[in-house]
Amino acid sequence: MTLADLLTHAFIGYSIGIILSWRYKRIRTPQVTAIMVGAALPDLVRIRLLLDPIKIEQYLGIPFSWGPLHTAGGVLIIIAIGSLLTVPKDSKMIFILLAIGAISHLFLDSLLITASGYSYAVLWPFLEFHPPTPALYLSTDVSPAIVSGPMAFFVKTLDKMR
Amino acid sequence: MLESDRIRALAVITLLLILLLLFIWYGSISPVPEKGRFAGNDELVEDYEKYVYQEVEIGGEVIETDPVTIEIESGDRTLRLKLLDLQEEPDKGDRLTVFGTAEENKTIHVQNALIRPSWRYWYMYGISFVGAGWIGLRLIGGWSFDKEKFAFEPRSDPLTVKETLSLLIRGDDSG
Repeated sequence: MTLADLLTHAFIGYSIGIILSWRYKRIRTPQVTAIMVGAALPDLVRIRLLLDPIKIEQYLGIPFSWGPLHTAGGVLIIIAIGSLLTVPKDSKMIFILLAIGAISHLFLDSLLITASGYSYAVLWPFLEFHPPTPALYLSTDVSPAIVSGPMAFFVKTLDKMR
Repeated sequence: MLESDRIRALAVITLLLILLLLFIWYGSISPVPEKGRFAGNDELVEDYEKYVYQEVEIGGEVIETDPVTIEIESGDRTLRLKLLDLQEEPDKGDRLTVFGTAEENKTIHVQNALIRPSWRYWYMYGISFVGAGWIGLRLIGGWSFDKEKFAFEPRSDPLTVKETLSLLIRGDDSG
């Protein structure tokens, strides 16, 4: 599975957050951060670099994969847990903010170039389908950060001028 | 502990159990080429012969260039695969992601391949680390954890980066 770099996801989450803050006064600095956290959540799947799923399988004797963390179903559960870890009056809003960030992440990663031309199972377990990817960029490309960085800076400048 | 807190804790535990079930479920799914889910490193290392004449999508490091041979990993085990009909000319040490058909004699008939020099991975991990640091600092500066309520709460007056760093160095949250 290929993933875009986390800095790009942070820039995109930041930009979305700032733009939404112009319309919704309840979105302030901490809420923008919540969107950025949401945009980072699917990358929890990188835990596989530390805890090899194949070794977990061998140890437990049952099938195991961290894959769901980078799909709609797994992310939904993580977001629900995140929103439960806030005070009840905030939890609904936090759920929405985390979801906005996470959706931006899953969407951006579905545009990544793969060798087969098919992306990952974005909507698993609701849909098993791996959608064809428009193959916009590689996870190791420098270009996503070069595009999203100045964009985030531009949004920040607009925000300051308001 | 309040009644509502007990329900909250129960809900979190239930969700974690569901997540664990998803990990097991996902791990048990077999490749379905028609749906874009191809056999990968884990499947081929486990039992190459099972996937002969099937389409596979794998990734590994180039260990030989004539003929181009990659080593794919799964857990502690590795498998060396020769690549046929590769258009590109990778160098030793490059990372290759390959889509193609598994043939007999541990040979992959390549349909498409992506080459990445290994430094690109260092770039990706490095810059991702910067992204994680930025988000982490903002999280600490914008939110505090209330141990009584066992909940995160937005700070009414978010800390600046400097204040966040000094909070991290002091290691307490009295300010």
